[in-house]
Amino acid sequence: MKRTIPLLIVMTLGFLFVAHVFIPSKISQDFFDWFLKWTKVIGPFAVVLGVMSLVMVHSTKIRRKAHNWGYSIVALVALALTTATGFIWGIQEGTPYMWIFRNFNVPLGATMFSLLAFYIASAAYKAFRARSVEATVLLIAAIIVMLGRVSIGHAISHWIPDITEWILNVPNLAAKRGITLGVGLGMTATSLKIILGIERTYLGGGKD
Amino acid sequence: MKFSESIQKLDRRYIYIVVALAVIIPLIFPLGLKTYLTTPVEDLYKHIDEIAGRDDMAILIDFAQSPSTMPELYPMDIAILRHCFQRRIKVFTIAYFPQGAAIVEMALAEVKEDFPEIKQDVDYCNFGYKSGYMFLPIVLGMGDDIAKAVETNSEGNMLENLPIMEKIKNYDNIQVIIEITGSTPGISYITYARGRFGVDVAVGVTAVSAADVYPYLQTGQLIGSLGGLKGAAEYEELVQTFAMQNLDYSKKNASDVDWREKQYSLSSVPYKYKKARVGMDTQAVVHVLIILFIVIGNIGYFIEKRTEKHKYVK
Amino acid sequence: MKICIKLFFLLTILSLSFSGNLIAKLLPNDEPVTELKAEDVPNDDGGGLIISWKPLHKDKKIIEYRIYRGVTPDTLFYIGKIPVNVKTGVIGDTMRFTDQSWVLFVDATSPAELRREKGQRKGEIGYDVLYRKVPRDMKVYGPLLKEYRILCVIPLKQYLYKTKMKEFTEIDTTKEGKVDTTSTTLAGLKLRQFKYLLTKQIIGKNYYYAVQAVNLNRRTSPLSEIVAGVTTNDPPEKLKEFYAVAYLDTEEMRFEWSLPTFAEDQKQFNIYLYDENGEKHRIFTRADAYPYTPQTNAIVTFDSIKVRFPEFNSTNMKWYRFNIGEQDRANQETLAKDEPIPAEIVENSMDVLPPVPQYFTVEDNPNDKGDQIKIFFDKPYFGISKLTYNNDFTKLFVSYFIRDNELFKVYRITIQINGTKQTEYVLDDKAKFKVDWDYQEPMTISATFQCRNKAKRLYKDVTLPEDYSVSHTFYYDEERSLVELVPTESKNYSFQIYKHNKSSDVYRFPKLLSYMEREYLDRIRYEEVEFRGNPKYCLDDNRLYVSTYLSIENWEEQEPYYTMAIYLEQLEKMNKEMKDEIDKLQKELEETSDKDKVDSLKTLIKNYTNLIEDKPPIVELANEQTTNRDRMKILDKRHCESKRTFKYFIRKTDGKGHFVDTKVYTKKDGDQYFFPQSNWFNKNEIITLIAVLIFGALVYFMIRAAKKGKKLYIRPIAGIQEIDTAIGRATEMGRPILFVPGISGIRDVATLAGLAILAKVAKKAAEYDTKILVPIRDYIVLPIAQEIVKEAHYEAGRPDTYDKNSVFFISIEQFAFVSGVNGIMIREKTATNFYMGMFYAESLLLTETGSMTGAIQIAGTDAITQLPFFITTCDYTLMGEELYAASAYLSKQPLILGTLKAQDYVKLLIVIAVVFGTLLSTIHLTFFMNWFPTK
Repeated sequence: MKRTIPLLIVMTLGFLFVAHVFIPSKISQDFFDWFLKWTKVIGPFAVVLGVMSLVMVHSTKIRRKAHNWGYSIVALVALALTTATGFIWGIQEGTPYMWIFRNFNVPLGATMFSLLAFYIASAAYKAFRARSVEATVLLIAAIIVMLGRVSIGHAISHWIPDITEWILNVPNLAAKRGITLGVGLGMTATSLKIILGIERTYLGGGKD
Repeated sequence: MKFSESIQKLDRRYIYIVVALAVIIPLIFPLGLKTYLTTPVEDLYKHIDEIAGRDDMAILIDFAQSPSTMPELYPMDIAILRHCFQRRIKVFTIAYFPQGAAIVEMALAEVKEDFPEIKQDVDYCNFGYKSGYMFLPIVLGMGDDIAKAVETNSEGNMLENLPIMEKIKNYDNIQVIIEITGSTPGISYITYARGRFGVDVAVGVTAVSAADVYPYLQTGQLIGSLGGLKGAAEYEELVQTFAMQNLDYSKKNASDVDWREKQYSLSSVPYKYKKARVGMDTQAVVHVLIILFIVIGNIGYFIEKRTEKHKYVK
Repeated sequence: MKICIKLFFLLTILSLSFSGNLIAKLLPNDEPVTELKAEDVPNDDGGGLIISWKPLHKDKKIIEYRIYRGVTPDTLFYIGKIPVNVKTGVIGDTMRFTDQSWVLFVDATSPAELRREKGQRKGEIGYDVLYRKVPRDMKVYGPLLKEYRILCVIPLKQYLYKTKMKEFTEIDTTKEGKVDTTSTTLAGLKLRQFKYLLTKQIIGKNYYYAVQAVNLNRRTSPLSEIVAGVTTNDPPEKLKEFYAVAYLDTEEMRFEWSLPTFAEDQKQFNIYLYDENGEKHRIFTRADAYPYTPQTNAIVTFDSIKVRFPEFNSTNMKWYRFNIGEQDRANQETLAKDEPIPAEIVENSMDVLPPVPQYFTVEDNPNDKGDQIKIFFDKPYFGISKLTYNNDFTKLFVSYFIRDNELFKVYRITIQINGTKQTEYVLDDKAKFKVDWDYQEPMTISATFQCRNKAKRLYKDVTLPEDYSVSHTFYYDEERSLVELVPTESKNYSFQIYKHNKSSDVYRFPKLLSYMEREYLDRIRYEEVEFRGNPKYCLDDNRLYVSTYLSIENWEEQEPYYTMAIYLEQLEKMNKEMKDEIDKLQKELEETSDKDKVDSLKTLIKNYTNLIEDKPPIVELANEQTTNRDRMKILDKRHCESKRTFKYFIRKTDGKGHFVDTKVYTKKDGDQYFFPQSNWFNKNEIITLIAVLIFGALVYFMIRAAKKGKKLYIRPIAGIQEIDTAIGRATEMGRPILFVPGISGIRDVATLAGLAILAKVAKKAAEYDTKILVPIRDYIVLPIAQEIVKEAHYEAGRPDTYDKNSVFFISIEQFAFVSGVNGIMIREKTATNFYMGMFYAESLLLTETGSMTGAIQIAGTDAITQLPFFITTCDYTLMGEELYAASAYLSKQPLILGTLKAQDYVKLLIVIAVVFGTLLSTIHLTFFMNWFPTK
């Protein structure tokens, strides 16, 4: 029972939503819109679970004085502080919450993101090796594209930007489309498996 | 043997330091690398420049940007606004994201500093932030009457009372709509503004999206595009060599790199107007650096492979 | 100890930054806004005031200006704000807030009861004056209702089925002391039943305004001066354009004008003729269509002019002058031209008028929700969007576009340039030409069309004339080195689509199409709301009461349309009253002998009888129903139908009085009206349906084959085979495994695929007794992942080793999540990292850190842009569909293997279709391609 009912719900709704694609009528559209509104309700409930998990993991660490437990204090204090400021003063422009967002969240995020440039350089250095014919082709293509995107490429030969465009528009696009096709099919198959109840790991524990 | 191994096992931190230097040094001491122009950028410049000095034509810029895409897109905003202010081209700006609205104001304030004679609501008009829900009604409504579709400018003034609107009625008076965006470029404008009213559309996009723009450029649905920092750099260059010298655009001069270099000296240009070109120096250096890394890495790899082979022979 | 130092350091930074914030909080905001003015909006209907003030200096770090309004200066309610960019401040010298048109009065965001505005300190002026929005408390907003014009927007279903009937009796005492009672029946609704309550100022009434600035620390400035503003009903604005054209051969005049900006207050447009003596005669009146756009042109025949101006003589046309006036509801009028203009006199209308658009057709749009009507007309158009050429003008690249319609669906065109002909298959809208263009001469590009008739059901034998072509001429501007298009006359014309529904008496103008358009989908929204004005309120039952009359349909007997009370009870009462009145009159009639009185009594009786008896048939049917609900169902249906049923015609115009009309489109059975039908199957999706069915069938057969024990071969995938080894490695090293199931939500199929793999990996890990860490970004994924890992431990027979905290939430913030995961990799020294699911820009940040810590990494994603990063930094990568296949590989269940095999066969079919389609379209056979829907 514990699994049959959820499976039945999944199956019924799955088929209904598939049917929705083919039925343009007002009833079908209204049902779809109505349902989408309901799915929004689930989110806020799940937030509680997320926060609980965060608190549990870190409080356990602090209690056990696990390795680097100090960071857990920082995490919990930050969580409490940000939430409190949001609740007390609101989240509009000019509130402490906004200030925290501006001065912590944004620069920290930007820092992480800009690390990408360094990681790309080191990844290129470590990983790009002419191990085989294919790898060599890839390597040459990468060099041409990189040159073609800056003025040096143009300075060497006006062909380089042209070849860059060609590489991006022809072989690159072809490969992309091939993968997209496979992905589309894979998604459909997975969805089908879920609707038909073949794939049920997402339901988690409990026997029939 | 030792050398090849040390190449192969080089500590990442050395790479990071070199990359950091490659980013910082050109920013402080610009190399002044030549800027090569591409057709989509030239087309857009030419198209905007055609209405220089006219009071019955204007351009509309949609700032669909957020702070995260500013490094690439903001130089475009500045370059286009500078072009328009210098050449007395009427500009409308609009934003459908609140963050975009903030960027419009920043860009306008920054460029306006150098053009004291340019007046708000006379030479340019900021429509300000409009809700995303209003996008379609406004884009379609402007085909009939801009003042009616947009209603108010950023400060709440009714558009039809503004001097700039005197001879500007609908899309017939809009030379081009430029959407400067960090996401899907220009599709809605192509479908609605161009599709229904035949108004010209161009885009400014991040380098990542630049490839998505090509099909539309090929069909002429977009009359031009600025792709990433490179596009911005090219536009800056065009503004510098033609608009700032009060010259009309000419294809011949544009393709003559040496002629362009004689027109100005980069060191005398304020930083905000050469941001993209300086940025391109950095980009060029980093690209070359990465290529060098790849080459060095591969040399090490080959040496190692060869020595391994020799081992077997022995 | 070390930790304590680190902690101390971090906390110090935190507290320091907060104290920084506190210091900033002391930033004073002690200057009030000055030069506040409330002025009337020019040209409007009297419903608008412009509030203007001088913005405070940039240094004050103002983030917003709040505006308050009230009907007395001692109670002001918040009505809106203007946000300001702190960095740039306000560029101009004045700021304006337009309190115009309908604004929200009370809504869900209003406080439940009267609440003072925050930030005011006792003793300040604002403290006793400023309140937040008008509250939802009827005791407060009820009395305010009469201080404004109110518009109620009510969801239709609420209005028709969920109201409460109530009778209001008003007692008036006239001057002579006579007491007069009038009773009205109204429909009552609770506040929450309304969609919106909107307000507008009453003309001539004083309203009070004040403005307050809020700075970066949300400190409010002292309140500005409180100013009063009075709205005046201005005369309408001047129309910008007006044209008069006299067509002598057809004996009519055509007028055209531009639309005014403010439409709300318009009543009508009047056209005047000034005769030889300068005397003014009104010759035409066009009623407004508010809230829709009215027609902007009119045809006035000489005969109809003669009715209003009997001395009219068309031979005197050159002496006549014309003007147009816009008249508002207060009967104020503004003329468009200071000096009346002469008419353009046309002897022969054929010389100036464009041809009438042919084949104008209206149809219900198929395959839709039932909210679109399809309109198409005229022959196809060929336009050029871009022309590029090489330096010596021998090669020309033409980017073109086609505008066609169902009747003439273009599938091939022949383009001709300077004698060079080329056939184009309209696939990529580009053509390359080898021409010999002497650039000093203009060049003409013309196109002829080959079309398919896809509207055979309506036009059986219509084909496009073979000589029909569209051409454009270009010339080369040497000075500017540009190719320019020679403008053509057809460009000046546009198409106005006019429509008229069954519950109003005027045509409205929904759409202006450019000269190149050939079809249009008219969107007809479902009726969802009703508008009612000036509600009454009743404190006893906390309801607002509005009028009970519902418009039903156009009906000749009762102009312009028939309305009906929504309560049967009310109707019966009214009928009874009228019958009593008739009886009374009858009696009076019998007694009187005065002839005049007899006549007037007879007319009165007749009128009353008509009111009772004459009804549209549908209303009669409705009134026969026994319950009010059944009755309303019928009226509701007809009310919506008549509002959504339209007839159409097209006017082709240059905007200057030269226009031609098509006839109103009439169906074969003579009916002109169209009602959009809701469809039950979208035929455009038929190919998709077939594909789904084929896939479903293949899955079924493959599963059956697999169950029967047939060996299904599937290609080995290195990444999947290595999963076991990777887990084994972690066990050997005694270090944990890290599994990231993507950063996307549960709606993403990739996340589901990632979780399916997690189930297998977690089970293996449990069997080997290796710790597995699963950081989660999406909190809906969290409980699911926890369940999966728990289940895996149970299945492996090791429930004791399951630690709930091994599956944990980090942050929803993308890069915060990355830094969290990276920290775990470095601190816990994970031996094996799995990344399975959807990833974005963070992929390289994760994997590069993993490779630094020396972990074995296996990734799987369908995010194409991230694949290169995974491939270069991970040991194995599952690309695209391999991610979806992985769980099948790992489980080896026949059911799952079957779907995998089916997937392979479908892929084969797709490849065959792609190759086939490519081959066919290469030899210009596009039928196969066109079967597939493009979205």
